[in-house]
Amino acid sequence: MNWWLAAGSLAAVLTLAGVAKLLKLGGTQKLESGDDAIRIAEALSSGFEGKAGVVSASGELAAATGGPGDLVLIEPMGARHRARRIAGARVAMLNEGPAGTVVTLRLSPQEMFRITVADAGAARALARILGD
Amino acid sequence: MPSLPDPVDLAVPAFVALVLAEMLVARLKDRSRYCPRDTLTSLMLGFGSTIAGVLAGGMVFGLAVWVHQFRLFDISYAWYWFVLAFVLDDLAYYAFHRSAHRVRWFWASHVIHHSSQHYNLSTALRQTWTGFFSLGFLFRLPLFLIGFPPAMVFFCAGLNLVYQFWIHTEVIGRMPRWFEAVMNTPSHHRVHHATNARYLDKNYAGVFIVWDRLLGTFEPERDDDRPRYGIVHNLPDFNLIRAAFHEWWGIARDVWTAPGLRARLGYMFGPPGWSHDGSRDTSEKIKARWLASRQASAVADDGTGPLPHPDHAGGRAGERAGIA
Repeated sequence: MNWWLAAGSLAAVLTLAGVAKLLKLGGTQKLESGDDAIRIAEALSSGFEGKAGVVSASGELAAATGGPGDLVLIEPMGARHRARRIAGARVAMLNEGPAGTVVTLRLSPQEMFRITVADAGAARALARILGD
Repeated sequence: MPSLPDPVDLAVPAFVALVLAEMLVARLKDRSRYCPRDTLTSLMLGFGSTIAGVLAGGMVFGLAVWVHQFRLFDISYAWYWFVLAFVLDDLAYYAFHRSAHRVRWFWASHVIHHSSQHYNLSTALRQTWTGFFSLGFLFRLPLFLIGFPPAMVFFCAGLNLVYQFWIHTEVIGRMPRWFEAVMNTPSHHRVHHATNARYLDKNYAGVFIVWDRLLGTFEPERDDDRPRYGIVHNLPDFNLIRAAFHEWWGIARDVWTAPGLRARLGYMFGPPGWSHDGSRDTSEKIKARWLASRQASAVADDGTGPLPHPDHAGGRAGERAGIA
């Protein structure tokens, strides 16, 4: 093994990652509408067919439902997204707030998730289809 | 026996320079092409892969030499044998690569390379730590049995790997038609890395796309179906250890809980996504569902009813020729 090459490679690895950070590469992809939420949820969750979707006011979080209890949560992961499909999810609360409609989701008896949605109509549609 | 250099070692400075150049292009055109944490994970996986390769390389070479003693022909180091070795090694790579997508045992090692949602030159360096454990090197054994010297084969394999570096980019749209017809290109390989149903399990080529065209696994990239990168069940984070071992852990968990020997063997050697109760998605199921959805859409377009589900063909139609 050429240990100099190995050491140089490791240095190059760390340098390149550092350059990516210095150049401010990545960022977060902002989502705009419920259709975006459905599209990403279907792309990231094999077999999921979305019927309603919401995007957070910040554009970073999203949720989509395919039917009663069937929820996909979308969160940023670097410059892309990760999706979590949850069975048995329900809407716990819908509240109007200054930034939009606050949708509180019960993912499980131990886990809640809150998302503030600018589009009140989309929030109500999600709640109606997902169920409470 | 001539002393042949390792092409990959010689190419490392070029790899670094080209990654840097691509990052600069991303800074100017589309910053989301790179993600610092994803890049760090990819490059650390590549670094670990070289360490793993050094640890296992002696054993693989020793096995190659042992098999070579039973060779059918005595092949010299003349240049034309190098050419033939390169072509046949690429065919062996196609066979290995196709198995690496269709047999879960090999997929568990190969999935690392596909596990990034990004597609850039750092993805090219995102390599497995468990290649030796998965026994992927077995696909080259016929070359040694034919009579190609191990040093020649490994040299050609190194050239093959170096060639595959530059095709991991979105900067290049399409190459000239004559080139796209014969060689593996960024366009062809974007299809290979995509999880769009149309593109699943396609374009296994290393250097020559000819093998896919001949063996029925070719799919062209479409402007109206932009590739979406990653794996069917994407990693939830950038954890290095999870990236390197998650599918092996999945196999172990499934085999432990499997009902019987047949199921255990299926979870190890069946296609990725196979399950004894049919509860999971294989590529075939995903494609079948997508085709059914398209057929339903086509029927709806004929005016016989509303669209039941959105078409999976997504994204904007954009120009792909030349430099993007």
